[in-house]
This record gives sequence, C-alpha cells and structure tokens, in this order.
Amino acid sequence: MQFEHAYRKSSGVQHTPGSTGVSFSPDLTRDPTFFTGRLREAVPFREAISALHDVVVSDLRWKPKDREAYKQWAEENINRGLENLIAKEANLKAEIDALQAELAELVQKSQHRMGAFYKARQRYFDYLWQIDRDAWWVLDPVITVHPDQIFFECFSQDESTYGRLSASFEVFADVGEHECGTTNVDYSQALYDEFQKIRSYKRTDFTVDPGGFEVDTSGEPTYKELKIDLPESWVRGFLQVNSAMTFPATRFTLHPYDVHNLCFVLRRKRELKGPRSLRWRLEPGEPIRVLVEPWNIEIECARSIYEGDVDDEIRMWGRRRIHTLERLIPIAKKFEVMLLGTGMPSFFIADLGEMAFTLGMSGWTANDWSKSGNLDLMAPRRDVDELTKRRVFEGLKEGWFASADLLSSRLNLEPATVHGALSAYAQAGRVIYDVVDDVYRVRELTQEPLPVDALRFSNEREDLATRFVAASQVQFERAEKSANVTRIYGKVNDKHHTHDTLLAIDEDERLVDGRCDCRFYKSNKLYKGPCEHMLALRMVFERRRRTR
Amino acid sequence: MWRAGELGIVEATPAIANLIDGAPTLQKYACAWALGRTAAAAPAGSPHRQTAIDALESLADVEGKTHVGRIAIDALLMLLDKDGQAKLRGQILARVPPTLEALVKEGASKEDTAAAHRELLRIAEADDDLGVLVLLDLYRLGLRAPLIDAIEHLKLEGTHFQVIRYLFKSAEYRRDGEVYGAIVRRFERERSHYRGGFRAATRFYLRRRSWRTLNRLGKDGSGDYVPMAAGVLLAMRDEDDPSPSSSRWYDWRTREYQTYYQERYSRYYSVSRILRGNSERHVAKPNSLGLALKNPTEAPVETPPRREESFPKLWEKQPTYLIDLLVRSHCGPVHQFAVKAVRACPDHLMTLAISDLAKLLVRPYDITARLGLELAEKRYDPRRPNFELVLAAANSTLDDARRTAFRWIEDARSDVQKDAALLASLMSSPRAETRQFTGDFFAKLYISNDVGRACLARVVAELTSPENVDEEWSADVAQIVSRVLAGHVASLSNEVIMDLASHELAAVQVFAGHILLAQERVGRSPPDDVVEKLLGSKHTSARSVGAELFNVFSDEELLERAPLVASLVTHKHGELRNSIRPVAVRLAGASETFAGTLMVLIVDTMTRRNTKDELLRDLHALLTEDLSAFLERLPDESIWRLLRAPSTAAGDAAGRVLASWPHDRLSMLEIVELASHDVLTVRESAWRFVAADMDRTRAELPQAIRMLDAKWEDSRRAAKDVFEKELVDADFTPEVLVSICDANREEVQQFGRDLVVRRFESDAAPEYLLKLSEHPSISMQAFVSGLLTAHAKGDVARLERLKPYMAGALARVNRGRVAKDRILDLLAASIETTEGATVVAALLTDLSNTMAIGDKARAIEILLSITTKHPDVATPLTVKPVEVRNAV
Repeated sequence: MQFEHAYRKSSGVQHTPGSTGVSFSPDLTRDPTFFTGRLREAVPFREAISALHDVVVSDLRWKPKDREAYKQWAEENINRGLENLIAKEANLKAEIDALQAELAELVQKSQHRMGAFYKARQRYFDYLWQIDRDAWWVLDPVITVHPDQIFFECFSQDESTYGRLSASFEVFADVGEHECGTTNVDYSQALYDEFQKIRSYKRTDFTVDPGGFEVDTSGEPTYKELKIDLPESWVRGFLQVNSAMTFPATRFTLHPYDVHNLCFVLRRKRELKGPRSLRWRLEPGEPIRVLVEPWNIEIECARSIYEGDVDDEIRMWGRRRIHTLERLIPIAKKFEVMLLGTGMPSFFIADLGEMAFTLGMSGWTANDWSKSGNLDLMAPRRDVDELTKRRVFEGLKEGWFASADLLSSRLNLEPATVHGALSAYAQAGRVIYDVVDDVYRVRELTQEPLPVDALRFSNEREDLATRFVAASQVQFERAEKSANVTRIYGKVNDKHHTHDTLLAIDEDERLVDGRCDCRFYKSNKLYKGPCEHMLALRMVFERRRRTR
Repeated sequence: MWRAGELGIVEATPAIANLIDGAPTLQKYACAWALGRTAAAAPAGSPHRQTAIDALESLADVEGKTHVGRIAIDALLMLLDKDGQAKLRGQILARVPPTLEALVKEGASKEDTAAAHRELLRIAEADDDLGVLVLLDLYRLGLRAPLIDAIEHLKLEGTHFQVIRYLFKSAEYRRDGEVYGAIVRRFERERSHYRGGFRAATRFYLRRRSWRTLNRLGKDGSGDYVPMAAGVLLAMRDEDDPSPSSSRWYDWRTREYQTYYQERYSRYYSVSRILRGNSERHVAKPNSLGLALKNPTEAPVETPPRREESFPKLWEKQPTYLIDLLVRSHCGPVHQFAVKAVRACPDHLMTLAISDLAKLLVRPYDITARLGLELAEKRYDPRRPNFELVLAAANSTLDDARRTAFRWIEDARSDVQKDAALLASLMSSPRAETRQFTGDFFAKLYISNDVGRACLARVVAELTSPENVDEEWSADVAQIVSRVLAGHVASLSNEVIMDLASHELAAVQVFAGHILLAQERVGRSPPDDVVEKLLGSKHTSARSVGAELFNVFSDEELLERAPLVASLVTHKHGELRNSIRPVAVRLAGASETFAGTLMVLIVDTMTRRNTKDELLRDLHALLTEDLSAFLERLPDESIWRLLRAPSTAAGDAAGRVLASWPHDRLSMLEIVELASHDVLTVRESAWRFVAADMDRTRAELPQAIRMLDAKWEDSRRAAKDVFEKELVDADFTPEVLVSICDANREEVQQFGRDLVVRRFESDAAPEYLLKLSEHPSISMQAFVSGLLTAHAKGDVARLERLKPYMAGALARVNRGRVAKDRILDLLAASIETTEGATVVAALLTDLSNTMAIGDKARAIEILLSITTKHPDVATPLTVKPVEVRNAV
C-alpha cells in the first residue's frame, strides 16, 4: 500500500546551553495539527520517547547467520588434509611446506596491501548504513493532539509490536496554541540521538510545529516528500492490535521490579529450542506467578496480588519484546498487564504518572502462516448499520474522546451498539480505544480511510476458511496429544466434496504438519501455507478450546 | 395471439385483452406482446388502443422484475401518447444512477455525457452482475450509440447474458434494427461456451430465431423487414469474416471427401440469408446454418452477376435504407449487394442529394465510389461548379474520381482560387496525389491576402489538432503550405507559432521553425520561448532548426536574453547544454550584469531538488572551470543555498569559494554546521576557520565544542586535535565540559571524561555529579558513580537529588555492576541520619523485590541496618522472631 507524506522540513532538536527545543515537523498532506508546550519533567519524557523509539526500530524476526566467510575458508582448506596424506614422502612434504609458506606470505602481503581498501570499503558501508538508516523503518510515528492529552503511536518493523506514549497536558508547564487532530511526524535516527541530550536542568520546549503549514510562495517545492510502500501485512498487523484493545481481557498489575525480574531472566538465558512461552499463572488472592519456559523458572511477583475471580493460566509468546520496557522500570510507578488469552495479543501499560506508555504485542513475533487460523481480530463484532455507525462516530468527533457509556446516553443508543460501532472504526484505524482512561478516541491513522475489507484477510484461503466456519461446514473429530505435538483430525465440507483434514500443532502453537486431500494441498503441500480446510479446522479447534 | 400480433390485427385487441384475467404467466406474456403489436396498428386515441393501454398498465412493472412486466412496459412505450410516455419515462429515469443520467437527460454538458459514457462502458466491462441491469432502463429511455457500444463489451454469461437476451427481445419487439443487428452480430461471431448461458444449443436457437423473425416479416411483406435487415447488415464489419473459406467433409454415404466453398458472410446465418437468400449459386451447407457454393469447383466471385438477396421488392420500396447502407456500412459484401439493388431504383438515384453523393464518392469501396462518380459526372455542371462534389471526388480512393476532380478544378480555377475552405481542404487532403496536385497547381497562381490568411488558419488548425498523429501527412502539408502560401506564412502570430512548436510531431515543430526563419528574413526577430521550445524538442530535426534560429541572434541580442541562455545552459539535453556553453562563457566575459543574472539562474537550478546528476555535473564544471571568476563574486546568500542544497556538486562548488573566504566571515554556529557537511572541501574550510583564530574559538567555546560531535569522523578528529593542542585546561569551564560529555558518541564522551579528570576541581564536583548523572549512557553512569562516595556521602539533599540517577542505575537489567556496587556502598554509608535512612529505604524498597540474589541480599542487609538503627523509618521488612521449636 502506498503512503505519501510531505514535510516542510526535518524534525529537529535545537540545543543551547540553557534550553532544548524539540520540534516535530507535521505531515503537510494531512489536516493541520499542531501543539506547543514546555516540558515539566524532561528526563522521564526522554526515557519514555526512547522506549517508543525502541518499538519503531524493533525487529525480532529470525535472521539466518551469515556463514559466507566460513564457507569460503572451508573451501580453501578442504584439500589440506588430503595433501598431508599424500605428502608422506619427506621430500614432497618439504616441497609442499615451502609452497604453503610462500602462499601464506603472499596472502599476508596481499591483505596488507588491500587492507586500506577493505577498511575504506567498510567505512563506506558504515556510512551508507548511517545515512540510510531511516529507510529501514517503516512508517513515521503518528502524533495525535486531543483536548486533554497528546499521544504518539508507532508500530514495529516486524509487524508485531505497537507502542503508544500518551502525555496529559499536566506534563507541560504552559500549553500554548494547539489544534486537535492526527498527523504523521518526520522521524529519524538523528532525532532520536538528539533526544538523548534532553536534561532536567535545561528548559525543554516541545512543539508539533505550527509553522509547518505556512505556504511557501517561492514556487520551488521546498518540502521533503516521502513515499512509502507498506506491506499490507504491516497495516493489517497495526489494525489487528488496534482492534484487540477493544476486546475484553484479563487484567492485573505488576510491580516495576516484577518486569525487571522477567527481563533479568530473559537477559541471562538464551533458549536453543522451544517452548518459548511465558505462562502466567493467576490465582485469586495469590501473588501472580510467571513460568519462563523452557527452563521452567518460576518468578513469583510477591508484591503483585491477582485480584481476578477465577483461576487462569495464559500463555504468551514473543516475550523478548518486553525488553522495550526496560528503560521505563525506574520511572514507572506500576505496570498494568492486559492479556486477551493464550496466543492472543497482550498489552503492558506503564504508569508514568502524568504519562502512560502502552506496549501492545501481537500473539507472536513472526506473523507467518504457521500461526494463521487463530482468532480473527478483524471480524465484525456486532452488526450495526452504516447510519448508526456514522452517527456514533460523529458524536465521538464532537469532543474528540468519550467513554462508550457517555456516548450511549448522549446519543440515546444501547452501550453495546456504541461499542460495536466504535470497534468497527477501531478496526478501520479511525478510532482508538484508550485502555488507560477507558475511553474511545478519534485517531485517523491515514488521511484517506483504509480499505478495511481488503485488509481483513492476508489471502483468499483465510477468507474461505472463515466462510466454512460461519456456515458450520467444519466437523471436528478428535485431537490426539503425543510428545510435543497435538494432532487434530476433522472433516471439511467444501461444495460437493468432504475433505479429510489433519493438523499438527507443536507446543508453541505452530502448525508443524498437516494433510488434506484437497487440490491446493496436493499441488503445494505446505510450501505456500496451509489450505483453507486446515485453517478452518484450526479455527474450530481454537473455538472449542476457548469455550472449554 | 402471436400471429395476430405479427399481422397487427387491430380488431383482435379486445379479445386478447379479455384473455388476461386469471391466465397463466406465459399466456399473460403472449397477451401483452400481442396487444402492443395489434394496438400499435390502430390510430392514436382509438378505443382499441385505449383498451390495450388499460390492459397493459395492469401488467406493467417499472422495476422489470417479471418478464410479463417488462414486455408490458415495452408495449406501453409504443402505445402511449406523449404525456403518458413522459410520465413513464420519468419513472424509469428515477431508477438510473446519477452517474449515468447525463446520457439520457436533455441539456447535459459534453463533459458529463462523456463521463457517463465511460461509466457505462466500465459497468459493461465490470463483473458487477446487478449493475448491468441499468442498460435495460437506458434502452427504454431511448439511448442509442453508447448502448450499442456497451453491448459490444457485455459478457455472454450470467446476468450480462440475461441483459443481452432482454435487449434482444425488446429490440425485436420494437423493430429496432440497429440494436437488433448489434446483438445478432455477437450471436453470430462468438463461439458457444461449455458452461453458462451461451451454450451451443442456445446459440443455435438464437441464430435461427434472428433470421426467423426477419423471414416472417419479409414473407408478410412488412415494411419493417428492410429497417431490421439493414440494421443487421449495418452491424457487420469487414474484419468479422475477412476472406472466403473452404472446408472438407467426409461423406460417409458416398464414401468421398466433399469440399465446400463459402463466400464471405456465408457462414453467418441471418446475413447470408439477407444477402443471398435467392441465390441460385448457393445451397445450405450440411450440418450448419450457413450457405455454401453449389458447384464446389467454381471459385468464389468477388461480385456476383445478378441480384441474389431475399425479398428484393421490399428493398426497392425503401431505397433510402440502401443509400444509408452505402454511406455507413463497413462491410464489402453489403456494398456489393446495395449497389446492385440501388441501381434498380434509377429514379431515386437521380434525385439523390448532393451531400449523399459526396459521401458515396469518399467511401473506400470501389464499387460504391464508382457509382458515386457515375452519378456525380451526370449531375456536375461546369457552369455552376459544385465544390462539395469536387472535394469529395478529390478525396476519393478511386483514381478516376481524383483525375475528374483535377480536371474540374483546372476548369474552375478562378472560382477555386477565391475559396479558402476548399483550398485548405485540398492542401490537407488525405490523398497524397491530391496534395501534390494542389501544391503544383496553386504555387503558380496568385492567392489573395484574405484567402491566403483564412486558408492558412484552417490548415494550421488541422496541423495543431491533438488528433493529428500522422508524421508523413504533416510533413507533406507543411511543405505544400510553405510553397503555396509562402507570402502569407510570415504574417502568423507568435501564439500560433508557439502552438505549432508545442505539438508532438516533429514535422509540425519543424514547420514552426521554418516559419520563424521566414519571418526572420523579413526582419522579425524570433521569440525566445519558441526558440527554447524548439531547442529542447525531443526530435533532432526540430532541434537543428532551433539551433539555426539561435544562431541568428547577435551577441548584443543574446546579452539581453540572459534567461534564454540560462535555460539552455541548464537544459535537460546534454548535447544542447554543451553546444551553448562556449557562448555562455563568451557572453559572461563580455558583460558583468549578464554574468550575474546567469549565475543566479544556474544556482537556482543546482539547488533544486530532483535535478539530474548529469546536469549537476555539467553545471558544476561550468561554474568551477569556465565561470570560476564569477563564482567567487556570488553573494553569501547564494553560497549558503548551494551549501544547503541536496547535491554534492552544489556543495563542492560552494566549497571552492569557501576556501578563499576569511575566517571571520562566518559565525561559530555556521562553522560548526559546515563541519558536518558531506563535501570534504567544505569540512576542510570549517577546520581552517576554527584553527585560524584561536582567541575567537576560545571565546566561543560553548558553540565550538559542538564540532566534536560532528557527523563526520574527520571533522571530529580535526576538532579534537585543535582543542587538545591549542587550548589549555583552564579554557574548559565545567559547563563546557558537561556539554562535551553530553554528546552521544562514546569517543567524545571519553574525551570529555578525560578532560574532567585532568582538570578536576572539587568545587565543581557537585555540578558534574548532578548534571552528568542525567546522562543515559552506561559508561557515563559508571563514571558518575566514581564521584559518588567523595561528593555525595553524608549530604542528604544531594542524595535526594541523585535519587532518579540511582534508581535508574540500580534498575539496569543485568548491566552496570560497577555503578550498582558503588551506589549500594554509598547507600550503606548514608544511613547514619534518619533523613538519609529515609531516602535509602525508599530506594531499596523497590530493589529488595529483585530476584538478582546479590542485590537482593545487599538491599535486605542495608534495610535491616536501617530497621535496627531507625525503627521509625518505614521499610518493607518484617522482622519475625526466631521460631523456637520445642524439640528434645
């Protein structure tokens, strides 16, 4: 999907011995949105915005090791053992040794001569990496100004982590002129570096530059244009996390040092094989316990008592994303955790006083097909007609934010209808549910509305699978658990054929094997992902598990 | 009932109307169909007609959901009076989406109609099943050409095919030959599908039905046969069946192969029957609906000797349809048929309008053009020459016709000479021979000023038309105009010449250039913009004419045309830039003012975004090699623009100027900015500026030290060298040192730390401690921790201020061991006073929750000491008494 931004200038930080001016450059192609204010607590803000930066650059997808150098070395040395065998004859050996010595010397000379070149080349590559680093990021953060707070949002490169930093107007000593709305801001590595120079003993001014919208009449376009081609999966991931916030969740509070302990275990150990999950064990009135697999280290959060009503155990993957919160541990008063369920998105909300940092994580770090077939976060939640939806949205827009109850009484609608309408807007990226204040907020992710229907499924097979499930054409037969794998058997009725389908899911909930007698499976096996029948069977299995 | 309808028996109307009540659906359909046809034969306002209308209104369904309702609407549209029709059309119009309304609304603008037409085609091509139903409503509202266009694009499957069938039945019912023909053509041309609606049997049925309808009309002697048949013929195109064909079949009865020859369109059922229904040469081809030649050994003939069409008498009754076919048809066999048939109506031919005659002459079918020529020769009166005929003959594809036209022109030369429109049309004739003749003949004749100007305007309008894409024709026309109207060409205005120069075709652009050269010969100077346009053309021929024009300017004239020269120097074509470069340098040498203007314009181009690298390279060479003397005279503002431009070429050009600038021309902040520039020469200048005046650098040290954190390593090294060699420790105040340490780069921080250690003043230590403690880097936190014991021990206020630092350092996950230990040491040593213990307890309360055993133990130990020494200070520890077990 193509996204275009235009900025009058780059965002920047101006340092003088006594003050720091943080100025964000807003996107000119969007409705004017600006803000000016002076930061009261500069250092906590610095730490929080740095954590947000960690989300922007975070990419925890698996990357294969570069073994090129080793392979080259192995190739050169492969015959050496052979030579030694042949060279049993003393005279031959002496000759080979002499030649080897000469070769080694030549190689050394060559390396010496080429050394400067290699160094220069490396420096050049480093330079390219430095100046082009911003190109590695995906979308500039989104900034939203509301009548009570200002918040930043971003989504990681690996399509799995969402960050939101909200700062109430109390964070600012004097809030100047501002215009509510949402805009993208120009963001770069250089800007992050400059943020690190924020100090409490310097006055720090914060602006989303109102001058960014001035019209330049010189004729020459002086603004900086960015055209970004975003993968659809990225946008889908963002919207899924947005949508997940509106779901009911298990909530509990952690002491900052509980998060510290979690990070501590993960920093000290590196697992070579799965399962790689965190098991949250929740018992009413008891301290929360976390089991870190595969070592089965249990962390007892002695100062965090679970206040829910029922026992629960929830598994969570992609746990190394929690390291993003490390910088916030010393400044956070507490961490609120929201878990939607096993393999489902989770949220960590750091309470920073007048600021709050929300870290949203999708069910897994890698959003690949081995996890597909889980809960459809983009499915419409409740049928609300278009007119009512629009009415609710317009009602919300009047005050920029409101709770569902307030809206329902103001518009004389059922709260469930209001929730349904607003969750549909959240799925479309036009509204966000603020889990901190329990209100819905207007936040148009893009100037033009996104094609939500096109984004709902990543491929045609997911769409078909959803239809099979909706039409009750999937028959779950049995599930067999052996060693580390659960095998699920079932039948899927597709038009005039009934397909025998089998799925195998490992302890990390990944689809590791499958069988089906459909044409897609016969042609592609699992190389192009599971067929629609496997996906449908998995959905039914998940649904059964959840209802139990 | 059906037959009564076909025959239009008016008297049957009431009887049919009585059959509607309680009838099954199919009968109702038949009643509605028949009522429309029987009542249509009755005069308007007659009781029969009213009876039919009443009955049909009870069946009609504007939404078109039932087939009875649909046919009733079609019948009503034929029977209702004007008001009734308007009302019904209003109801139908309400169903048409607003995007298509312009097609059927009166007074809609051209743009809206074109947009609606596009939308209709989109609907016809889209897979949207329901959208195409709108075609039925549009047909009922009287839409013609766009509808026929859309029919071409409909698919013969699903709802699309359903819509085609509705339209087919409706056109057949309303005897609408044009729409009927367009649909019949699709049925004939397209192969049947394996699945869906248009299967082999359906195609077979529809083809048979299309001829059956015509055949019954013909047999009944109906006046509707000819319009319907003409509609079918008119829909055919030459490309549908371009050549005769033959096929071999094995006849199992004779046990021999049979060869069948088929002339063009013999494969098409309806067309072959219309054209050859009475042929003695043809027989029905077995297992096919087509015709084949009776005698297989006889080769197909281009023009059959005698008339072969079905119902010849009916055609003779309505010869206007034959003429219409000749004027509009794009199908050879149709022309052969129509010419033969129309020759049987000599009276009609002699009264044919001249405009129709002219149209026959220009048709690309020889047989038709020859008929036109014969008639034209009979009708042409040399005493009163008809120019419409002359022009048509001159534009004919027939050689004889053109030769006749030339003869007529020569005879009527004095009249032709005065007719600008004819002259222009002859010059821009689509026939090369006619253009050649016009050029040769009129070049010798005198053309008056008025006629010449009017003629030129018309030809130029044709040349500059966006529809003109014919290079050869344009070149020929331009050459003839230059020959015939040489004297008038010089009078063309600059705007018109600009239009010619802006055209896509090379010939038209060259023509513009030639006009300017002609004007220059009579003393008119060529306009700059046209010269620039021609020089920048993508066509080499146009560029060379442009160069010829440019060479016309003297140096004095060029000096006044700095923008023209600048635009050529900065032109996107490298060849042009290089050719103009010596001229630009020569002119700059001659005039200071010219050089100034030129330089500003060049700087503008270099600082623009998206300027091509090649252009930048050339401009850089021009500025630094040929115009270097002027480069140094550029104002500071221009130099800064070059420095801040996105290209390195611009930066390098500015860097060469900076090399000669004195060090005090720039502020320290500007120098620091230059130290991070991407171009080395610029950075070198920055280093020189800093080193040149150390007194100033010393005075402005808080700004100058920012060079230590420059983007480029060489700048950072240069700054460090200068500061280390040229400055003494005393020059670095604590504020400056803190600023250096605030940098993000480890190497700069290290430099800062070294300086702090070297010139450590214990007075300034608290300042270092408090300010540097806010630094986010681990190494700096470790450094700060080294100052703790000496400068924070025992000072509760300072400890309080350092709380965020200590909390941060202690909360580092698995890092910062040195700092943590030092902090814990300090905390352990700070619990002597109650105030100190309170601060320490608050910090350690959190830390005691850690699972790092060492830290936890240390925290508990200190907290325990606090509990012992200051029982009032709150800690998370609960001291439990030792359990006494009553063991033996």
